[in-house]
Amino acid sequence: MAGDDGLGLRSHRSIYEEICQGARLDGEKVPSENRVEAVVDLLSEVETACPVPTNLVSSLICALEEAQTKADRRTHEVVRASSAHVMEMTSIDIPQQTAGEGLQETVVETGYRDSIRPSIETGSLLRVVWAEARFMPLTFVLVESLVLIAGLLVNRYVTGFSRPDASWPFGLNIWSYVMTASLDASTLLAPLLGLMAVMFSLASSNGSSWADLEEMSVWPRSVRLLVRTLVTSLVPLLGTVGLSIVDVVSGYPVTGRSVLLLLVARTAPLFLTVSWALFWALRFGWIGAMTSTSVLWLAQFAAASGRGIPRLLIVPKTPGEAASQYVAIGISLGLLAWIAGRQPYRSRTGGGLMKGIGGRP
Amino acid sequence: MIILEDVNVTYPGRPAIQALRGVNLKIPPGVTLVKGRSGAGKSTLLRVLATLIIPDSGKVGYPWDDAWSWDRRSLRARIGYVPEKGVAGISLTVEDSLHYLAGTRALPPGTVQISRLVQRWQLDAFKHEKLDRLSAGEMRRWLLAQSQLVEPDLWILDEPCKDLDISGLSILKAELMEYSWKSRHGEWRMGGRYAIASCHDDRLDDVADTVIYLEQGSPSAILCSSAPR
Repeated sequence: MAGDDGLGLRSHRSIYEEICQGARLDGEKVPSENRVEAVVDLLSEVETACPVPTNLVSSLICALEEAQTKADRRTHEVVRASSAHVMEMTSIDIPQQTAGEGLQETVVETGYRDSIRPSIETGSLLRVVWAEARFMPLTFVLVESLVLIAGLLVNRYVTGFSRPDASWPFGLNIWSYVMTASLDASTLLAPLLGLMAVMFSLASSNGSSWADLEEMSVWPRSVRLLVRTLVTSLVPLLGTVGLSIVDVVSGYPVTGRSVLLLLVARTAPLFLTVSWALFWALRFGWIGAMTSTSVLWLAQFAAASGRGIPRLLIVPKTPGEAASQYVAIGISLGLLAWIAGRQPYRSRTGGGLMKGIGGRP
Repeated sequence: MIILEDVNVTYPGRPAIQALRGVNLKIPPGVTLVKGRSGAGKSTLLRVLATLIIPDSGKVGYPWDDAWSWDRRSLRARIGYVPEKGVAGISLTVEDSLHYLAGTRALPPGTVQISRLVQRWQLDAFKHEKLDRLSAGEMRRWLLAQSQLVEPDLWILDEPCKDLDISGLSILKAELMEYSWKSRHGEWRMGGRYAIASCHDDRLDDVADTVIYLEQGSPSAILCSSAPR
């Protein structure tokens, strides 16, 4: 064909001449040669171009979504790289959900939850005990120790078991007082020491944010309070037990008494105070603890001065006289068991709601 | 999905205050914002979900199998809670307080890496500082950090943006986006993962999948986002 470029395509010149001839015959305006050349070039490109895929739009959307997902995943990985711990995620298919259906839900009714008990694992409870013991403020331990020692010394000085030693200033041989002070007097300090331990344990449970954070424990508040109170009671308890053993070994002033009787008699008032105060604190807060303890120990002091009445504050000399001590231990164990089994949820009737749990934020 | 059916909470007093009135909600996995005026019941709703308040009536359902009968141990092991107010009167340091709370939650030793938690929330410089001496913004970071002692399937945040600076907000958003991302891509634990936050302003709007508006103790509107982020 005339004007063919040898590749099967006509040159723009031959096409232009043909267009001019046709335009003259039809009486129409002749286009410029440059315009014809541009159109011819465009047509030649179209003939050699790849066909447009039919799924262009959907492919493009998929590609964009994939790019977005990759970008999200990179962001996610950056976040996880800086995170504190590695989670093991189980990837599952998302079930098709409609309103009110879908994943298996656990719907429980309120009102009977106070009968629900978490399973008890000794190991996890020990972790709570360890946390309480580890972070027990030293100042509180120091104050407890000082109260115990000072109380014994005052009692020792008042009862005047030994004569003043002139070799010490003001005749006060402190060492002599400490060594010869009767631990029987620790029963007189039990109300104060026990109440101190309970009040300190209650201190952070006053409905504050910290109480909320502690409440997020898997253990009920009553159990945590019990653990903390027992930890805070350790100083007077161990002090009494340890010094009682020293008493027995030194033979003064407990001659004739068995170690068991001595330990029961000297620790029973402390056990009773702690469990009694905690029991009432869980019902009426710190006011309940203070009031109930005061009433109990006023009654005990009154009994101690009477004759023929079981006297908890007087350390007996024979097992036959220790009935009140054994009863006190029994009551304490009963109260502690009640506290340990208590759940801090209120029932449907609204009773038994513990402070710091249902308070208005 | 977390479901609340006809939940009512009344605070005793004279007069008694009904904080939640017959709340019916279905909360999907992902990030949910609870909005409303002061006193609308936002904090109460969050405390109900955190099991800190037991409703006077109604039902609360959680999507995890082992939460049957509200076994508090298994349920609370999944919950991280950020209270609105900071703690006061606690003389423990930042690091010790985290160890202490990990202990009271009976978390097995070795499962919680306190140092990384401190690092993540940029508390390194204050880790030996007592909680009493933290600024409001630092306290907010500490509150957020302690809520992640457990890996919460249900992360409840009461006004988490309060007092939070820009960098703290960025960390918070990144953490929330993870919840959103996993809920959108199906990469979740059985039952899903939930972050439910109350917020007065719009600083968390861009990471929210669902927004619940509360008015006088009842939901007045629920907005769900379905657009890919």
